[in-house]
Amino acid sequence: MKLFDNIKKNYSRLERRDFLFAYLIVLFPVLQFLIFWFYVNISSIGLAFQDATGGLTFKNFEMVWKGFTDKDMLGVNLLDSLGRSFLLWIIGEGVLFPITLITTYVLTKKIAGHYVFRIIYYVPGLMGSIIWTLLIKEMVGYSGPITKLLVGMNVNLPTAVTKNGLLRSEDTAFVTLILVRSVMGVVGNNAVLTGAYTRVPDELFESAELDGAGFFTQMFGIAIPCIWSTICTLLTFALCSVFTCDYNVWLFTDGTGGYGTSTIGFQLYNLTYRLSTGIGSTGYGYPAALGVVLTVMTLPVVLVGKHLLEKASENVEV
Amino acid sequence: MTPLKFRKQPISVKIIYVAFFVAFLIFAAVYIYPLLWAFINSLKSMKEYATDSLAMPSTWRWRHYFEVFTEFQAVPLSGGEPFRYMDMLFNSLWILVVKVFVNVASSMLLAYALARFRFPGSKFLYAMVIFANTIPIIGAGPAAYRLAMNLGMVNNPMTIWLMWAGGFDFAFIVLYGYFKGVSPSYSESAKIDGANNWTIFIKVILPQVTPCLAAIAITQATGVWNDYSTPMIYMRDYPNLAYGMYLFKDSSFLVKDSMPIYFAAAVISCMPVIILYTCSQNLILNNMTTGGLKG
Repeated sequence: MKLFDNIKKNYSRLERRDFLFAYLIVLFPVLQFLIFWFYVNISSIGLAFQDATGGLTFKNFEMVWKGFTDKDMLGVNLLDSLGRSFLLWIIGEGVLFPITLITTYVLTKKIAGHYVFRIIYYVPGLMGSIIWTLLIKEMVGYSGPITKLLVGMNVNLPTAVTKNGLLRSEDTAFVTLILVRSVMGVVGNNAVLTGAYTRVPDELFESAELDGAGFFTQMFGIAIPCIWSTICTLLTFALCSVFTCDYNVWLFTDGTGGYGTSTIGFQLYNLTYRLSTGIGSTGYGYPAALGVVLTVMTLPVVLVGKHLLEKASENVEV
Repeated sequence: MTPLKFRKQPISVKIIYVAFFVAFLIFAAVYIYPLLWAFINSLKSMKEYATDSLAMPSTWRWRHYFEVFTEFQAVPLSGGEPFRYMDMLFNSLWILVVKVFVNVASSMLLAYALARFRFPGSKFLYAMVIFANTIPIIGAGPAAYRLAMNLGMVNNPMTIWLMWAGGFDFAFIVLYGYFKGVSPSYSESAKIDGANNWTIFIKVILPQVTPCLAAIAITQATGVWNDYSTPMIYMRDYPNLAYGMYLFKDSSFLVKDSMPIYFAAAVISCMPVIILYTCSQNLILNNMTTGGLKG
């Protein structure tokens, strides 16, 4: 009541009408957030400390520890999965993101065929991971064109590959995933980056051109600094997904994560999927505890990364 | 951005652009090949496909594209009656419309309120959105599933949309920046003319942000159309096409020429989004942008 009195005392009738409107339109999104984000996350932390009967336990964390030092309840070494997730993430953000930054710039400069190229680059994203992945799976299968091509080129492939395809051998499965990720990942963030590039004033490029600035000077000296805040935002979002992306491991391996392909994102999805089917479920406690441990591990990385990106954003002069 | 005037460029820039053009061509070939490969194999018999997936079909079996609608079946994991392609197409459509609408509407309302009104608690709410988007809280899937189960939302089209209506997401970030960019003079003039907040929002602001809303909706639509993981957990009795494609691999024994029909289904399934994106490319690229995150 005191809050309402304060509002009544400090704000005019018109302002109060604005507040009422604003509160009304945020009511649903806020309630949704409180239930499906806030409550869910709090409940997830609670589940991590609960056994099947709801009693307090630390067993779930012991199982997570066992997963990191040996094998978890599903027979997966979590440290290996963490390493694979990180490697795929680094390829995505450390290698592919800079490539996207450059290719998007060139496409924004309306290179010949830019309209068609843009559509084609979106084809994997538009086809969706399910269709794209299943097609790639067929193509790298034992009778698929890629395996046949490698055999035809006399590449020394393990017997398991010639018999079962590239995704069914410890030696080639994860490498295949890395290659697929590399090919598919180039288009990521293209739309947002194009939107940002197109907002850079033309006059800046025109004067730079008159001053004799070349291609790379215009790109690195004008375009990229101008869209730096967008880049920082995208990288901040990317930081959050460091361990959560499953990179379609589920689809590539028919939900097994076998042949040394399991990632943390896959593992988390797999645990939820098992809960939903009830087949091979580990219960709620173990995945929740794994989530808590991963959050604690990721949080400092993200906070430091976010801080550095914000600093970098402030220091860029346009 | 100023388009490149190729002829006026010095030779060094011309070389760079030609190199990029060649690289783009190679990548385009890599990207288009799986689709082309699927298309060619969709026209073969099962025997032809199994014998040589690289060869051209001896007879082009266009009927496979009709048989998708009559023969394509996917057996649910729980057993029971197989789902038909048309059922899955219908599920894809309603899930797409509902999910995109509730999500964009929720983000839009929140973004408008926080971008245009300074009310007690608005700064806190904005900080919460940034927090939710930039601080990774991992592994909440099981807890979310348990909540959905307890609320009777799993496999329930009447209530599952509540779960999809989150406004604290990337769409908010884009819309917030867009609303901030809309000049306040329009709404101020409307206010002087006696318009209330609802009228201003619906008649003055919404028409100005429609291109951005459309761009976000189309971008989200492609994601929703292709999302198999959500239906796989939450809507198993209402499989969309993406989930159906996943289920089909275990149901292929039901269908003669299963793989070619499967490829035909894949081609048909991805066509709507490819066409949608092709038609709206400029709209998306001109309206999807975001600034910095402070909070």
